[in-house]
Amino acid sequence: MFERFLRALALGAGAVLLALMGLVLFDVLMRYVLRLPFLGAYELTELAMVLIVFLGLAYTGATGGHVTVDVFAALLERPGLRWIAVAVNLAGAALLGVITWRTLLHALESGARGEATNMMRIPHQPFELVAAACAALFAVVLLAQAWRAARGRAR
Amino acid sequence: MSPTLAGLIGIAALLALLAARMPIGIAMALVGAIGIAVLNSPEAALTVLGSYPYSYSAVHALSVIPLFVLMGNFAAVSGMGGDLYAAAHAWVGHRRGGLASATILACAGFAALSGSSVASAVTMGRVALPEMRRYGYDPRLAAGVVAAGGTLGILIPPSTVLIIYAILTEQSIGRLFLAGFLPGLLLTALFVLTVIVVCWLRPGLGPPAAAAPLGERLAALGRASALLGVVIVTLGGIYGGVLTVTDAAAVGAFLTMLHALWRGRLTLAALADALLQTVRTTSMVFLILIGAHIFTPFLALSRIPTDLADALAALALPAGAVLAVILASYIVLGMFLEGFAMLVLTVPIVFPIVTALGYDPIWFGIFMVIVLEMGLISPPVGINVFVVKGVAEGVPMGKIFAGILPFWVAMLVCVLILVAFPQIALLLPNTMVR
Repeated sequence: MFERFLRALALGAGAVLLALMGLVLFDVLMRYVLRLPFLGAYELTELAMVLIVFLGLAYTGATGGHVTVDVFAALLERPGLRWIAVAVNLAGAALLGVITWRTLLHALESGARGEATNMMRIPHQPFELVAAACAALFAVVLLAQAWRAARGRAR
Repeated sequence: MSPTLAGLIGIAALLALLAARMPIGIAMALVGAIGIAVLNSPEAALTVLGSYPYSYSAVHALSVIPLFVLMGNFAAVSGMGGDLYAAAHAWVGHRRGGLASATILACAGFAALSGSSVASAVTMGRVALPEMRRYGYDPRLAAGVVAAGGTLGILIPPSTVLIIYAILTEQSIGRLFLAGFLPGLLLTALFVLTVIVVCWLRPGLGPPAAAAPLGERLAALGRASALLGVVIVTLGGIYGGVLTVTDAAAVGAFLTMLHALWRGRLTLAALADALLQTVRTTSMVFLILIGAHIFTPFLALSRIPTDLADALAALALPAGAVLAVILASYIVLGMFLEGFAMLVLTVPIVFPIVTALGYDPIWFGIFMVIVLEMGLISPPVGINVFVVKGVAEGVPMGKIFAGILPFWVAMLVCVLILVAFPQIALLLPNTMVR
């Protein structure tokens, strides 16, 4: 259930990416055909990148997509060394927890100051909130992986 | 605590966390944040953690990463890899070792659409390995060419590794892409030469396949020419100054999508899969980039990179000797570390040294990519080897590595040629239209 939700978010990131592709093509056409550069393209690209990166973060974590160094993989799967995987996942969850907390604070401040993009005056806050929520989801994924490692069912 | 000591403890902690299989990006961010807290202030570390993940994602120039990855995934869906292989097969398959050469050529073509070695090895492995088995090729040679040919994916543009190098060292992505093009052709030629030499020494390894009539050859070439169109538009557009790298990535992704649609391969399920794969690769790369952006300031605070560069300068070693030491270290590191990890971990330390010696940063990027590629196919943990192992079931690891060895030597020769003639990398970027 949870994994399907994460997959849906990742597909959402994919949809944003297709839209970004369309946006850049539109910008190229406007520039060369109509000689009218689309001034909002730059900042829309930046905001799209936030969604593409963050919406996929937890799904990538849940499906083992984040690169690890696997030199000692066989060794670490021994039952006696299980605690290492638990500790590593818990430390990762703690880091993502702090990132969530500080990004949330950042979002609240930027909302209070009314920060927005230069051309189209799109507020940054909703995107910062999405980033914080996605970091929190990634933290949950890491906690679940710590739990699974503790019970000896690591992937 | 002295900054140097803190830096050394940080590096040791990072290596320990990596050995314990913490994802590279998380490990770099964790150690970097703690290091900044110690050397600067906890408040500074918290500010970094609250702002960098967002601000280093919201970067216009980095949109080329998902767009080029998408292009590679669409190309895999559209069956361009198979078309390329069929064309190369038709033209050189009847020669001794011809199917192996065809695999190299198809890998080089596919590399012009894909920025990832693993994707290239998987795509071409699925197409080429069964064919080589059918014609009785030695499994060592068959596995070796797929693993080695796949590494062309990150040298021939587009290349995710070159994009990350460009970001970490503040170089131009477009210039690095153009710099990779001629060395990519050189390495392709060296690989083909390796196949010819190996098959000349041991004729039983690669028996010739049936010759295709001219009409069939031309038809196969025609089907593969879609690739040529995409490459001319994207790379040509960058070289001619018509398209920015972002433009080229979006146009290339769109063209390969159209091709996949036209071939009737882009079903809804295939589209969803291509998008998910792209998002996964993008998130993976960005987690590492964000980690690197948090770790590098800590390393700079420890002053280890500048101290090291100064110490080396004081020794007044000849530049070539330092480069030889760097090359040797990368070959050793490549045996244990994955390419991305090696790149983000070593660039902050090695780059100041290399530029202080007067080497061109663009040239060094290409040098580094080839050396990383050597790591991708060297034992015990070459990632491309595992990919090939996954596709070529039943071939033992030892045989795969034995098959790879001659190609590894070819890469070393390629690096030495690049050191002797840096112009091979620098010609295109220095003549591009801006």
